[in-house]
Amino acid sequence: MRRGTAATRVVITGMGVVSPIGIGRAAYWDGLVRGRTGVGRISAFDPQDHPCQIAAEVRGFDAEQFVAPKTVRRSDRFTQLALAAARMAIDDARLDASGVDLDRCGVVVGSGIGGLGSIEAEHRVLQDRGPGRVSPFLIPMMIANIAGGEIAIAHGFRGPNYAVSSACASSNHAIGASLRHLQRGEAEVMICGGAEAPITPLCLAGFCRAGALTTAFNDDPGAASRPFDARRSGFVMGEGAGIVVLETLAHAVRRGAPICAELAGFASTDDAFHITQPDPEGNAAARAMELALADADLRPEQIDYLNAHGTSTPLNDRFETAAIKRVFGAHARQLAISSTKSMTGHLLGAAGAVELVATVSCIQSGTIHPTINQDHRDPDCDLDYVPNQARRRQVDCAISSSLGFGGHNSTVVVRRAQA
Amino acid sequence: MSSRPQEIEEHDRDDVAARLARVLVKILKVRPEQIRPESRLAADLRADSLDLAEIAAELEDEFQVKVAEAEVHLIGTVAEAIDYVQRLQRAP
Repeated sequence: MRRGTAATRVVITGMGVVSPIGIGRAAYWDGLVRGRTGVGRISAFDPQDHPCQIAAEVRGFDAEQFVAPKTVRRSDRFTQLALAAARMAIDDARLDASGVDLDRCGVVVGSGIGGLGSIEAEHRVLQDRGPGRVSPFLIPMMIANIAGGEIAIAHGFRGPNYAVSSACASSNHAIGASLRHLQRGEAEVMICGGAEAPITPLCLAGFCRAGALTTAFNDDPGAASRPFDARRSGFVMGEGAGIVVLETLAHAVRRGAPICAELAGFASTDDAFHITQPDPEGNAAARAMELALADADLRPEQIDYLNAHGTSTPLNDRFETAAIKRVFGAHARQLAISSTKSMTGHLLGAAGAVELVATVSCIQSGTIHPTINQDHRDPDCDLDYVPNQARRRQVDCAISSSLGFGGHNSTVVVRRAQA
Repeated sequence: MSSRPQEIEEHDRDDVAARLARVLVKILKVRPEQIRPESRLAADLRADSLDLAEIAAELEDEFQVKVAEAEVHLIGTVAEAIDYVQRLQRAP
């Protein structure tokens, strides 16, 4: 069995989360296990004119608790969320900048959109007051790669650094790219994940017009995100950031780092089918799972838990279920499957990262978080989605998939850290 | 030579200094006590070129004057910035 050497095996040593159900990995995990919804009526602006008036907002986030005041003033919310999650992940990993080779610490942070709120605000300034009043910070605030740039500035990491953008698969791709940097020996530590702050009037209108959001639960927001349930009718936008610290096993052992789990494999494919609709055959989504399992040297029967993309759109959940059955065969019915999005909403480019944190937490705690709002069975979605209640179960190996507009499919594989 | 009494001149300069300090505190996120006449915008108050561009726009709003952004990049200290604003205020 190919397990690689300590130099090429990669472990997760720290995790940071800013989510609609909690800030910090402990609060986030507590919310997930309790089945708490983060969805409510939008407070960032008045959504009255929009068909969808709900979202999963991060509440009680004080950027200055994590970020220098001057950086707060000249950064978009998505960057502030990323900086906060990175700070918490680095603390969680007990990574001391003075004890590592900063030239060999890299950052890859994904975002589906980047600083859209800043673009909208400054576009209003352009129209109302003219070009001379547009903020000189607009460009560095809006570019999707700036979150990674700011993390490097804050912590002094001088290794590989860029953003990945593949819509809702962005952070899974960022994590996969980071895994490869470590395996190729280009870095010893990678800070990676994703951040998104999409709850703006323009973004809400755009996703509504694309028919992607549910509009049926404005009066009952907590019930809106219901992946795999028969009454699902679209996703709910969320915001937040997830950042993890990856290291080669050798580096982690050398510095005595806390090891959360092993990041054992990754793969990505594309549907080559449609800009927003998933391929009904689910071939490429299935192939991403198969390739990721092969990359991790695991057989489908070894997987205990699957963190689904599970968006709560009618098409995704049906096609994803079909793809899971194709990959796992009879074992599909032995899998515990859950959708984090049932509680957090859809964090778009940050989804894969916060879902990796959830997946690792399942392994560490021996508890699988539920998929909430499971009331009406859909005959096309007939697997075990861990409905409504968390469940005790030992998880040794798990996978997490993220799919994105553009037909992007990505899967990461995690396994229990072995002594 | 100004025809106005020195007292009024001093009052005007204090007024500009106070309003300028508010702009600098807001944009540079420094503490008010860090702003002294001899404070250097770049070296002491950590203003970068993007900050200076924003300061130029803020000065226009605050003092209702027309600022040439390139000139703001030539300002060294807080005292020079006060001089600059007063020069603009006196311009015809």
